[in-house]
Amino acid sequence: MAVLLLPGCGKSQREEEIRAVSQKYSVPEEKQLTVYTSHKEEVYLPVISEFENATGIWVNIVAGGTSEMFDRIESGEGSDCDIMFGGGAEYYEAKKDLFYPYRVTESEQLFGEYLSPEDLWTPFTELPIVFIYNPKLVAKRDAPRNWKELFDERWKGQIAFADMEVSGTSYTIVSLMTQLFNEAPEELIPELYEQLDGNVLDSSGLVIPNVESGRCMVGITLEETAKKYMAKGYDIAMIYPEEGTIALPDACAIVKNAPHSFNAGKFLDFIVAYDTQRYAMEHFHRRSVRTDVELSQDYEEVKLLDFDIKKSASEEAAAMEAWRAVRASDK
Amino acid sequence: MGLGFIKQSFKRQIFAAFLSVLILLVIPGGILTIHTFQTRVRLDYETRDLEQEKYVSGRISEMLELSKNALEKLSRSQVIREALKTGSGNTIDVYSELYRETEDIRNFAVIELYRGRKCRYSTGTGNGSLMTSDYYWILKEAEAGKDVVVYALNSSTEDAGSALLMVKKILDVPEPCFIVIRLSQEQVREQIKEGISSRDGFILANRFLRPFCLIGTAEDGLVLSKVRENLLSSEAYNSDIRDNVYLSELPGTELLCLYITPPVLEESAVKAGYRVLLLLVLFGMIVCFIAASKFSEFFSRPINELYRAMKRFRKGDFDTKIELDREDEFQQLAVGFNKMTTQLKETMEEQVRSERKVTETRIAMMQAQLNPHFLYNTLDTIKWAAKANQVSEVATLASSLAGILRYSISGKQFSPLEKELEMIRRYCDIQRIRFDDCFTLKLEVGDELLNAIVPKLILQPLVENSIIHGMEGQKDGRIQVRAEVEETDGNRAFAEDMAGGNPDADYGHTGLPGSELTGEKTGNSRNLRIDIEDNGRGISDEYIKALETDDEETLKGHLGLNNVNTIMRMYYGKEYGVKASRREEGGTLITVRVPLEFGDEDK
Repeated sequence: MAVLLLPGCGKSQREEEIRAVSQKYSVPEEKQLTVYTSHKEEVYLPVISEFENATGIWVNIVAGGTSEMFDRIESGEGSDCDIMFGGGAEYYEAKKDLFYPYRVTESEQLFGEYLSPEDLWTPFTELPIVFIYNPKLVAKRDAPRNWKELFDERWKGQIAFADMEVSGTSYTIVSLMTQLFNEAPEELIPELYEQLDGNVLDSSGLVIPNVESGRCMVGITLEETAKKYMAKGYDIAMIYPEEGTIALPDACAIVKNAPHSFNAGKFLDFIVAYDTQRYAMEHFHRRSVRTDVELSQDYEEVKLLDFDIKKSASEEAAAMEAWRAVRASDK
Repeated sequence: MGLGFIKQSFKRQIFAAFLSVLILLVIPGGILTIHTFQTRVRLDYETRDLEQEKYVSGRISEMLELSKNALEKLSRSQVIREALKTGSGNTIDVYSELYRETEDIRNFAVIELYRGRKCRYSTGTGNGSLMTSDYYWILKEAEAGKDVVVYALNSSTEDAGSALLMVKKILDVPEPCFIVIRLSQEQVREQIKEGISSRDGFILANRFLRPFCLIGTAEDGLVLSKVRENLLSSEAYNSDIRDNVYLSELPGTELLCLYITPPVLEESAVKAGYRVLLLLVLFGMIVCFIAASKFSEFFSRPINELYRAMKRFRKGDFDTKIELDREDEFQQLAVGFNKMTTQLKETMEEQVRSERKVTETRIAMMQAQLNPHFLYNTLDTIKWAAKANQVSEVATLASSLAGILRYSISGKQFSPLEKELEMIRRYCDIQRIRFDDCFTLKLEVGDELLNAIVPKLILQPLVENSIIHGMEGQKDGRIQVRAEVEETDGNRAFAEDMAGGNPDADYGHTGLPGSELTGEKTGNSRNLRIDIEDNGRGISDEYIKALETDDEETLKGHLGLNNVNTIMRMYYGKEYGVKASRREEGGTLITVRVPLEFGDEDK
């Protein structure tokens, strides 16, 4: 009899404990926030974790690629999403109607050129585009100094460049060049393809390994990526182009009809806060968007070109078309 | 329909009964056993798991407690305060102080002293120049004066989780100075690994369930994210998780421990249990079926035998017998049946015999009735023939004999007294011719008594008796028959009269039921007395006595007398009947007493 009864008692006692603990730690709606992010875990986790510690808000993280996340928000599948964190500002520009404007409390402290005029999105960090080369194969004085030199005969087929269709950065580079040389994408793309000599990488992650291994002598990539690999011990060198470059900010924005929009605003304030910005600079190799965060000595000053994000967004379809055309004709 | 199908057969009923017992016992029993077993085992494992969890969390608490004590001691150390304050000092002194105070915890922790955001002293093996703004939030909290235990994710490592930090601010001039105790994941893992079995998992997390340390099966972080999801949706933290999760707080900190164990009984084990139960039931059903067949045969064989025997018996086979080789109630039943058939057979045979007898008797009677008619007719013919030939004696003989014959063969048992007297006359006519007119018959009966009803043929034997035993050798014999009414006032008067009339007779018993019968039948208590007197030799005392005591042996010679007496008593009771006495002047007086009745001679 005791054997029969005991399990019942024990069970209920344990259930009682579970209930108590669950109740204590259950999170009310007003303490929740759902973040869709396309950042890597090493970036979003410390930031979000610190956000939780600082505000007591529990963050539900959904991570994935930028276009995937945008698609989910657009299709309504991501109706639980409060905030989109990560992805170039041009993505946000292209999908303006998905987001809800918010002006961060410390907007005065941010570089004006990175701000969305309508406050639709808030910049997190800036990521300048740089050249890299393999110092074992290319002498420092021979390395390309500016965008024009990339089209020299000696770099033909030696430039590590990712497929525009998979890499957003690649399109940004093309867009930058069209604005710099004042050419239409339809003109520039065949020239560029000619210079690449058909050597197109499948992903932007392959740019640095290709240069390091010597398959390509130079490459175009983000300063953040180059610095990250250099910190890991990759033997590559970095050049800031003479004409200047662009540093597209990666952004963050509140989604329309966000269930926890108040907490989303707090999150935006948090990511541009001094401590977060400083942390990002020191740990993520990303440049701060704050004026009061001093660059540490391993960052060089960078000359920024005027870049029309809206024009870049509008030309994207035509550029893709042209890119696909030259790729197809080559095969 | 199913029930009807079962009810039609004894075997099916037994099978159904067995099966219901089996199902009632085995299935609930089995399920109960499985459940009890499951719960019991789960409980045992839970207890074990909780102990293990307690051990692990206890171990961590211990580490944290030791670290806290070290932190406290270091913050009070004058040497260290001085060294941090001035920014310079005897490094050897500082380190020896640092090492002394942290002896207990150095095997699992690294102690660092910060001045501002620069690490000045460290017990760690790495370079002292740690990232200055590392764990940016913790320093803020420490600056605010809190003792904090917190963790931070280290972006430079790939694995989830990072060092556990304890920070205390000890000085505020000119820039804040901190003591940081760093417990790296590997060291914590090292310390608690013996408390975690290989199939279990352990998670140390902050209060937002961000992992500090994932060990064992929890390494993939799936359980943690599910627990987190449950808490976010306000459900029980372990809902929808197959594994057992034990969530508890580390006392004194904001850290949470999650101990994860695989489900005690895999679903397959429970399923196997149910499969065994199913097999058991199937096996039980087969056994039930066999047992039901055997049992029903055992029980139904005698019943069938009985049924068949009964059928044979019904069809007329009275020799039917049941042979059973048993010792139970069925045997008794069979014996009873056999006895019954035997008795029934005997009874039937008896009945047949008696019926045959009745039939034979009836045939004999019919044959016997044939002869008297023929005789009567013949006698009639003889009478007419005698008359024609003027032989009057023969005519008288024939005529009288015919009358006697007709009277005696009539089916009636009673007749009017007149007919009785007529009968006597005819009898005496015949006897007179036989005995040469040696006696006379005299009848003295009043006309009012001629219609009195008496039993048939009661007077003739008495008269015959008088003629045969009294008139032999007599020349002047006389027989006188008188009938009178006796007015009696019940049996008493009758008895007195009897006693007076027959001094030798002993009528001691009175008040017998016969008198009442008489009274009822006549409406009063009148008797008819018929006296038959002769002047012959007189009856002997022996006979008188024999008549009174119904001594048949002695009365053999007077059969007629005895028969009449018997008939009378049978009809009317013992106080009626025939009395005989000797007359004083010689001869015999025979008195017949019957109740006086008129009317239906067919009664």
